[in-house]
Amino acid sequence: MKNKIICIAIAVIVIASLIVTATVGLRVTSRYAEGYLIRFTADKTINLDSVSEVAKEVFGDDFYAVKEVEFFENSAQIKVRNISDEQYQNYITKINEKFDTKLTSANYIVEHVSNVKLRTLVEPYIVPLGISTLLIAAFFAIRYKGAKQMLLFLVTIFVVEAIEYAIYALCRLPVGTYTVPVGMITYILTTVLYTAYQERKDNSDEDEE
Amino acid sequence: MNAQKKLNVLLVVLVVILLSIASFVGVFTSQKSDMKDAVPSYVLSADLVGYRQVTLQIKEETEETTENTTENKTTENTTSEENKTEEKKEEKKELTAEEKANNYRANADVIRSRFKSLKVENFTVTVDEVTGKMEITVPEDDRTDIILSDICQVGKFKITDKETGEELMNNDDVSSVVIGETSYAGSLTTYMSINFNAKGRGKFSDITAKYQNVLVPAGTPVNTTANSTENTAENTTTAVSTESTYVDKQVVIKLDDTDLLTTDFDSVVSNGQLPLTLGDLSGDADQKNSAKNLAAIMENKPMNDKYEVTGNTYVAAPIENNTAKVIIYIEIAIALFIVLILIVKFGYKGILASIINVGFVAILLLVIRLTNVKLSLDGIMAIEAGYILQAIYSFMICGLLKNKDISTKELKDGATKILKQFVLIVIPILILSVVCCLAEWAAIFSVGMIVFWSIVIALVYNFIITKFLAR
Repeated sequence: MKNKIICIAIAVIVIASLIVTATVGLRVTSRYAEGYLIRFTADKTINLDSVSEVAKEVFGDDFYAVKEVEFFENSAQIKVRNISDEQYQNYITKINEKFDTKLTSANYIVEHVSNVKLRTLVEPYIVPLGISTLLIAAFFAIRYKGAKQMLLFLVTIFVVEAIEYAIYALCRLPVGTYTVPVGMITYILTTVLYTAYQERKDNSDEDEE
Repeated sequence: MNAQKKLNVLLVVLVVILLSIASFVGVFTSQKSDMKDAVPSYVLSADLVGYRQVTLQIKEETEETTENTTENKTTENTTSEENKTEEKKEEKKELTAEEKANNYRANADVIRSRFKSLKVENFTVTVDEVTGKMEITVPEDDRTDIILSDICQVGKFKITDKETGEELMNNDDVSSVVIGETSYAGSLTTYMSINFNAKGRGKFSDITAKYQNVLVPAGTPVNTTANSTENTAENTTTAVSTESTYVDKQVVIKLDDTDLLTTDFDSVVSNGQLPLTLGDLSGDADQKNSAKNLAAIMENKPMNDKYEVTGNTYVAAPIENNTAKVIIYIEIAIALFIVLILIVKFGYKGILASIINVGFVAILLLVIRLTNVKLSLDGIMAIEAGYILQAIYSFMICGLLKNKDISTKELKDGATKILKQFVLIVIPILILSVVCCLAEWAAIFSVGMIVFWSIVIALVYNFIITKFLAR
C-alpha cells in the first residue's frame, strides 16, 4: 500500500513536470535565455559591480547579468530580458554619470539573442551514459544471477533523474551550466548507493542463511 | 589501546597532515630567488576560463557588386546575369516566413555539426528565426581563432569536371573527412582522407575510371570538348590523332567555388576513399587545425545562406566561476555533514575515519594536478562523488570496529571482507568511469578520469591504511 502511494506520487510529479515543461517551459539562467546584450567600451577602467548596480536600477528584474569583455577592463556587457528606448537612454546616461564618461548610443552595441535549445546541452551525455547504463545493468544481471536487481537499478536511476527533472520544472529552478553536471553526479551517486545497498542486503541475507 | 596502536594512529595522522599541506597549501621550493610551488597547478577546462561570443549575420548581396560584375561582361552575358539575379530574387521572394525560419534553423544545425566534428565543447548556437542572425559562444582556447576563421564558409563541396564544369559529386556523397598522419621515408606526412558514402562510392569509382591520364595510340579517334566563344553550347568534335598523345581528363575539387585541387587518377579507386596529401603539418598546429576545419566543413551539409561575422568578442566567465565557487562550498558542506555523522555515530573512530578521508581528498587532488586532468564543472562535482565513495568505506569499517569485543583475527577477517565488498560496490562506477574516459567531450572525460582515480586511490589507500592500523 505504502509503495503504491509512493509510485502514484512519483507518477503525478513526473506528469506534472512534463505538463509544466510543455506549457510554460523550463526556466533558464541568463546564459541560455532569450534577451538583449548591451555592450560598451570606455576609455577608462570599468568596475563591473558599478555597471551591475546601474543595470539593476534601470532594468530592474529584467536585468540578468554583467560580464567583463576582452582583457582591458574597460568594456562590459550586460544581458537583459527586455529593453525599451527609454531604458536604453537612461542606462547610457547613468553609465556616463557613474564613470564620468561621454559615451553616446554610437558607443554601444545592442544585440538580440535567442534562447539556447536545452537539447544541445544534454546531447553529449546521452551516448556515454546510455552505454554505461547498459553495461552496469548487465553487471547487475551477472552479479545477482537474475533480472530483478537489474530492473530495480534501471527503475531507480529513472525515478531519481525524473525527480531531479521535476524539481527543475516544478520549483522553477533555472537550468544553467551546472544542471547537466548535477544530473551526471546524481547518476553516479545513485549507482554507488544502490550498489552499496544491494551488497549490504546480499551480505545480511548470507549471514542469515 | 596499546602503545603500538597509538603510535600507528599518530603516524597515520602525521602522514595525512603532510599530504594535506602538500595538496592544499603546496610544496614550495626556491627557484631563481623565488619561491614556487613544485606541484603543478590545476588545468581548468575551457568552460571555466571564459568564452568567445561571435555574431553572424546573413551577408546581403549588394546591387553594387552585381553591377560591377556585370559591367565586365558582354551584352549577352549581362542579360543572362540579370536574368539570373532576377531569378534568384524571385526564388528568395517565394520563400515563406516558415521556409526562411527552417533555412535559418538548418544553418544553425550546420554550425553545430561542424563544432561537433571539430570536438568543440560547451558551445551554444542560437538563431533568430526572423533575421537568421546567429549568436555563438565557444569556450576560449588555443584553437578558437582558427575554428572561427572559417565559420562563415557556406561549405559547398563539389568535384567537377575541369573542362565542362559539370558537377560530379557534392556534400551528399561524403560520409566523413579524416585528417591523419602517416610516416613515409622517415618523415611524417599529413593527409586528408575524404570518405564517401555508399552512393558516393559508386560515383567516385566511375570518376576514377573516367578521369585518367591515358596514352592514346596514333590513329585513335579522340573526342574533344570545347566551349564556343559565340554561345555557351558545348561543341564536341571527333579528331583522329596522327601520333600517340596523352589525354588527361581532370577533375577539380572545389569548396564554395574556390578550387582546392585539380587532379586525375592513375587507377580505379573502389574503396570510396580519396586521400589528399597535405605535406608535413606535424609541427604546425595552426595549419593542422585549419585542415581539420576544412574537413569539418566538407563532411557536413552546406549552409543555405552566406554569413558574415559582425561581432567577435572575448567574454570572461564570472558567472561560471561563481557557479564553480558555489559548487565547491556545497561540496565542503556535504563533506562536513558526513564528518558530523561519522563523529556522532562512531565517536573517536569517526574522528579518525574523517582524518583518513581528508588524506584521501588530499591524494586525489594531488593526483589530479600531477596527471594534468582537466578540471571542468562536472569534474569538480566528481571529486565529491569520490569523497562519498571513500565515506562509504569509512562507514563500513567503522561499523565493524564498533564492536568492542572484536578479536584481532576477527578484525583482520572483517576488514578483508569489507574490502572485497567495497571492490564489488565500485565495479559499476568503474565501468562508468572507463566509458567516460573514452568519451571525446572534455567535461565527460574529466568526470571519467576523476572517478577512475578516486576508485584506484580509495582501493590502494584504504588497503594500506587498514593493514597498517590493524597491525
